[in-house]
Amino acid sequence: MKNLKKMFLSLGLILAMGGGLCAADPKDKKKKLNFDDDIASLLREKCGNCHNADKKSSGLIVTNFTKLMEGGSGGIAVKPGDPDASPLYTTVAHKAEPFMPPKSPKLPDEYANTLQRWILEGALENSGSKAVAMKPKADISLGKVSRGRPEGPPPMPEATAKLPLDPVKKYARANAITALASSPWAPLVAVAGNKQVLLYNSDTGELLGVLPFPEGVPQVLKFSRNGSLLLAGGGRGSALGRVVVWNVRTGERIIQVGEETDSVLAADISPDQTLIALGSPSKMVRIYSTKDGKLLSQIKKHTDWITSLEFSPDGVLLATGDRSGGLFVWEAFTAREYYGLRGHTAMITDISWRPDSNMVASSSEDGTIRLWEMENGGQVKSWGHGAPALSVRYGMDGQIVSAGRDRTVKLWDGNGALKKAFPAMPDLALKSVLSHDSARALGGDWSGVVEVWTVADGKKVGELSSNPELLADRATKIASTVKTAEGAAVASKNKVAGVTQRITAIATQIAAVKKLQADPSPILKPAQAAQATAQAKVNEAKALVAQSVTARRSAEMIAAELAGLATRMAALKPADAPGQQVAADAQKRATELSQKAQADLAAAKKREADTTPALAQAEKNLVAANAGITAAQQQVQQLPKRVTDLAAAEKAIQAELVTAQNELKQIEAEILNLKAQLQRSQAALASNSTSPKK
Amino acid sequence: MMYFRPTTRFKVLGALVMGAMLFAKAPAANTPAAPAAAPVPPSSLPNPVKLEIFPSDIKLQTKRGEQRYIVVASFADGITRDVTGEARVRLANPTLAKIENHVLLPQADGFTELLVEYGGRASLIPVSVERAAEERPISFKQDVAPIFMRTGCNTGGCHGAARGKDGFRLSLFGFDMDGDHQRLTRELNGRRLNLAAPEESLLLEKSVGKVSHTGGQRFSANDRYWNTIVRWMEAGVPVDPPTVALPVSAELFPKNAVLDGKGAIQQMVIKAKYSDGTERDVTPLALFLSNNEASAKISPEGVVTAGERGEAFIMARFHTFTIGSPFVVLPKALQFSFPKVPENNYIDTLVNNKLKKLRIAPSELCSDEEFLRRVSLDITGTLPNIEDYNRFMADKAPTKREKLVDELLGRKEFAELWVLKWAELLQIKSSNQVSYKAMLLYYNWLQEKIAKNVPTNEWVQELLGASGGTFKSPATNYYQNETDILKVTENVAQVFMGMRIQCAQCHNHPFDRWTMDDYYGFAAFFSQIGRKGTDDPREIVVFNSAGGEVSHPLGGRQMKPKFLGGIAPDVTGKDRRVVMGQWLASPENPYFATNLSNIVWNHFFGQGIIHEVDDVRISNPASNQELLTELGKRFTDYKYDFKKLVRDICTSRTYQLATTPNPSNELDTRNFAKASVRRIKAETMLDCISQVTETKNKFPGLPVGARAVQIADGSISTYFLTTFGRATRETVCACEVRLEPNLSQSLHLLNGDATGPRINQGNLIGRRLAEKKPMPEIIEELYVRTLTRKPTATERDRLLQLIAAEGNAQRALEDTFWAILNSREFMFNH
Repeated sequence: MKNLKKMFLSLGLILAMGGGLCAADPKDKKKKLNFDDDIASLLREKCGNCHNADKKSSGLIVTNFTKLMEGGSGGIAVKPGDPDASPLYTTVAHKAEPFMPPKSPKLPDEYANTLQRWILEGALENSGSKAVAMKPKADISLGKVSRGRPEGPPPMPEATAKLPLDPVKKYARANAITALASSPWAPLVAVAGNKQVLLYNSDTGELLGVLPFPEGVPQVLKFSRNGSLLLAGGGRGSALGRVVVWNVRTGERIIQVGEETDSVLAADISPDQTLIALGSPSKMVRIYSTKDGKLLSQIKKHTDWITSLEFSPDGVLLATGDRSGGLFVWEAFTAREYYGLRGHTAMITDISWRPDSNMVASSSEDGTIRLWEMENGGQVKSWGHGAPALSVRYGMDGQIVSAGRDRTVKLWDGNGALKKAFPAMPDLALKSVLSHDSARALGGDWSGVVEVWTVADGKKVGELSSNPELLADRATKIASTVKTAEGAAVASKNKVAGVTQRITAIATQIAAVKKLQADPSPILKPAQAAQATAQAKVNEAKALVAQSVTARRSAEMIAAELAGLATRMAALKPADAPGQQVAADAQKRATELSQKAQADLAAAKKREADTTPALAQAEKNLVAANAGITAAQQQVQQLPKRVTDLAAAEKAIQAELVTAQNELKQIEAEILNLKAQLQRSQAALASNSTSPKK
Repeated sequence: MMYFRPTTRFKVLGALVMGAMLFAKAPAANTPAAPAAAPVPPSSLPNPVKLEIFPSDIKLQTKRGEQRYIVVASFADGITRDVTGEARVRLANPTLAKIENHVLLPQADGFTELLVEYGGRASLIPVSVERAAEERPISFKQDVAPIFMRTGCNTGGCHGAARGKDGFRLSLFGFDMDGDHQRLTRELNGRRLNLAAPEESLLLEKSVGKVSHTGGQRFSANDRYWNTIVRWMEAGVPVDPPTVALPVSAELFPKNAVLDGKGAIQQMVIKAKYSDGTERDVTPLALFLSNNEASAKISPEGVVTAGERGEAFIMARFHTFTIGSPFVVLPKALQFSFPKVPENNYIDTLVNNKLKKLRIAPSELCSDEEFLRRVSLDITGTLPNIEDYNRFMADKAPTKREKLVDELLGRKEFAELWVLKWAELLQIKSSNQVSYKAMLLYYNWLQEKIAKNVPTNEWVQELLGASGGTFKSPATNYYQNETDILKVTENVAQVFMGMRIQCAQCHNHPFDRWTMDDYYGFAAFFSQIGRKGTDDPREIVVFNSAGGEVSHPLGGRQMKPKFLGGIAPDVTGKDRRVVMGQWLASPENPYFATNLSNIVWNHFFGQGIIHEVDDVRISNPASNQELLTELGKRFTDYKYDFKKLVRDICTSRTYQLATTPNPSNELDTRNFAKASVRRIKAETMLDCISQVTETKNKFPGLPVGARAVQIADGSISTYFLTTFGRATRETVCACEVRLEPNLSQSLHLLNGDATGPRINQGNLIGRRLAEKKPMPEIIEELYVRTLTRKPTATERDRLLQLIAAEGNAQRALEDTFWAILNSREFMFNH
């Protein structure tokens, strides 16, 4: 372990010095310079674009010690011990034509001085005692390809491994999402940032670790098929291309292969973890052994930059694609051509195998996504993404997710039928993956945003950053988020209480209604009583009317009789005085009686007139009372419906309650999660401040 | 403001030597402490006669505004000197701007003047500073895109190639800036740019040579270009709004210069105006070129360094503009005085003006004999006969040369010669598209126009606007010859305006002002040519179809018809070609008259003022612009009667100069300081041989004895004509007529049927011997017939000796005749 650490350190040193100015370091003055440590990176960076194994300008290759010592078409390049007879030095020092590098001003003197010193010291290959940096630290080959879920818990960064949580640097702006990968078995995604790879929990969105990639920009990220390793390929354009493999659980960098003169654009590790294939603008696919870091084979068939490649999940085949649409399938172990897949007319942007290895999907700038079967190498499906497609990935369940220049990530079933288009991203959608359980889809765009959506409803549920805040800032942010969440929790609790109250109220109401249903008399009785009263009043009024009519009639008769009597009396014309007196008295009496009868009649008539409207009113009241009964009866009839309505309302509120309770639960869970994150961040911060930075 | 208005100042300044009076107005605080004594030129130099500051006014806008200035002193002998470094320069109000390395940088808003003193002269220019505290937002099109041209990224050999270079393409000289933005930012996402760490972007690492780059280092880390690109990336590589201000014009200073000896330097300054009215110093963004590196080399920063004696055209390319300034480089402290020579007309004045500038003396006047032969060949395409010769030589009148010119211009051969010329340019020939009959009618139409001396503009308008049947209205054949819209467009521009605009079909013209917008806007005039057949399969009807548009290949915009270098006229309801023709052949079109004048000039000097005549472009400037302008003006004033123009040319002393050089004009080929020796074109050559041998030709479709210049059909030729470079009329190129000598020509004249058999056939010698003419007289006649001169005494004596030695007089004389026909003196016009 100690040894490993030392190696890591020396590696870091070389990388940190990038420009290869090791000779300028006074501490190293005593040590003899050697090719591997001091010269290789310098030559690769400044000369490797032309004098590499592919271009071989003037037949000279400077990226490999043996080849360099062989010289080029113009003779030897290095004469150990004699810099002035070594064109490698004289041309760079502008002591002899052609001056190198061409068309550029002279390199700073340090470069020439370093070369001079190295040659003077005998042009050594390596320090001799030093282990070859490229060699892996451990044999990771599996011996066999395991299909399906690996045994044991799914590989996630372990808490004990204490992966760094601080980004390498917080940049003013995020770079485009150049690579994105999802673990096949765990809620773990890897996002490419500048000079770093970020591991996130795809369920919680928590940053689980930062893997430094000082080589440059990772252009490709791949999890091994069992999810325990993470591979990154990338580097610095026109200077360096490399593939790095980390142990997901420990965050340890265990393999590093490739000495490309330009950034690696495509790479993968075979399912049995014995091979690493990579491709770059050199147009070559190179396959390395993970055992000893040796180059096993090279594929020269492609005519343009290698832009994508992937091993089949059974480890038998390797599919590779290039910038002008060339797509090939090779036997992984022999690098022999298996199929040439013709169809794409523009750059292959991504290649993904179906988990059963029988189908490979390719996406292209020509706008199509194509599926190829491996029985005969035929194209079985081709459909348009809707714009040039920039990424295609199979999920573990055989669904396909793609991203394109229409800013949209789309989900397709295994036959290419559109299942879902996720909300458009802020800029070109460059990468897309499905989470291990296909419950979530992730898309990365040109502006540097990674969005997380739930597959079920297509809703955005989170965002991951390729340019995360520094740990301390993040902790502060989390703390403030916790506060907000706690506030939200209180509000949510209040809401739950409110809803509960409403449920109680509605339950009381239902009980009351049900009681009425059982015994509707409280509704019916008052109506019936009112009707009875009204009826009595009518009867009473009717009697009064009859009485008054009878009275009037008799008064009329009496009045008529008396009027006749009075007339008859007047007609009596007795001759004698007494008779006359009597007659007169009688007449007077008769008239008086008649007058009285008339008065009585008038009174009777008035009484009759008075009683009739009272009757009408009473009858009206009776009609109303009857209506009241009907209404009451109807009310009673409607009671069951009212019960149903209220029950439904109750149910709705119940649901509301569940939602509110869930919300509360979520918030509480989130708070717990955040608090845990906060705790972890704080712990990490604390350990950062106690242990000095490396 | 404590200053006068600048205009007043200029008046006051006039010839004023800057002194205390002027500065007395400025408050003491603003006056730099203890100004040094006004600098004087080195003792060897006299005081200048003129002191100029360029640009002539300075506007600094926003915090990012900047403007370099140059001070140029002119001396009495015409020499100019860049005295920017020696002159005393200051601002009337130094608080408004600061001066760093001859660059003004804004400090505070306001108006002031830049004051310059040198060698007892003074000058000033107004300076305004606006929005000095305001930042100017970064723009791709304004700030970033020009870098790619300046630093050579988008040339045809590098990323500007149609397929790009090493996987990365930029549009050639930036004709498609939107496309460049797209390719840079979004073609290969995450490769070329790194928005997280802009300075680590591949674009920059390659450009500054931090990593291997086939194109080497183009600029350096932290320099102006690097910073601009980083700033653009830090802003998130924004796409410019469609309203972004683009350059509308650019000016290069100084407009001309005469450098005194090897090593003299001159800084160039280029200022551009933008569509929003702002101005910028684009010297750091322009690409500088010289068309003569040996005489004047220019550095990328715009510093011209004088080399060998000669002329150079210093050009700057910026945005879609190419602009240039003519430079003259003289040997250090050259002593020269221009001889006193008479000037017959304006042509001589203008030619001599240029020669004076170049310190070149014209050759002597040619002899009468030379003139007679030269002008006869040039105007009529024939050799003078013996009577013409004797009459002209006997004439003692001082104006006899003018008289001769007038006489020759009246001959029908003059018209025939120009019908031939135009028939070449209009590609009159029978073909699968044009029947023989249609061709003949077309030729006759042209012949009638020229023979009747119809003003050129009139018949050109008729030609370009022609509609109707190719028999009834023969001018329509012009549109039958070539049916491709874009080819027609290019031909019209090349023939009538002298412009090769082909480049602009696919990208903005790299060496001229023409953009794709100009090209397709002009092509829109030819988009509505309808063609239909008639009962006679040989005849086609050309008509205005009133429908059809041209769209721009980038973005598919429909182009409005727009005159090349002119306005976009209203064409609704009109025949677009008629509208275009009326503009093209009119004074509105600045190129028409000068181009035709140049074609005429070229005919008489074997060298255009702009050469080639159909390669008018900014980067191929006229050798004497004033002369060309004046010719064009005269031609317009003559109502496009080109006979008058020919008369001006042929009566000028310049045309009549001898071919013999003097030491000062020996090396000059472009300034008409001596007459040039020219090959005679195929048709004229054959006619002359026929004329002197008194033989007849038979061409298809023409009677026996017809002259070769009369052949109407371009597809008809003979072995002789083809060998001597008769135009095939396949293209409109001026290079169709080939005048380069070659071996087949020599062999054909030595051994072919053009000389020996014709001498026998014409039997001139036999007849003269039969007439018993004395031997010297026959020899003299042969000389006059062919060379328009009498043999010298030596020639005559030696010939007589040879003839006597031969014995057979006929054979000897025929050999003499043959020898003369094979002499360079006969084959060339001199």
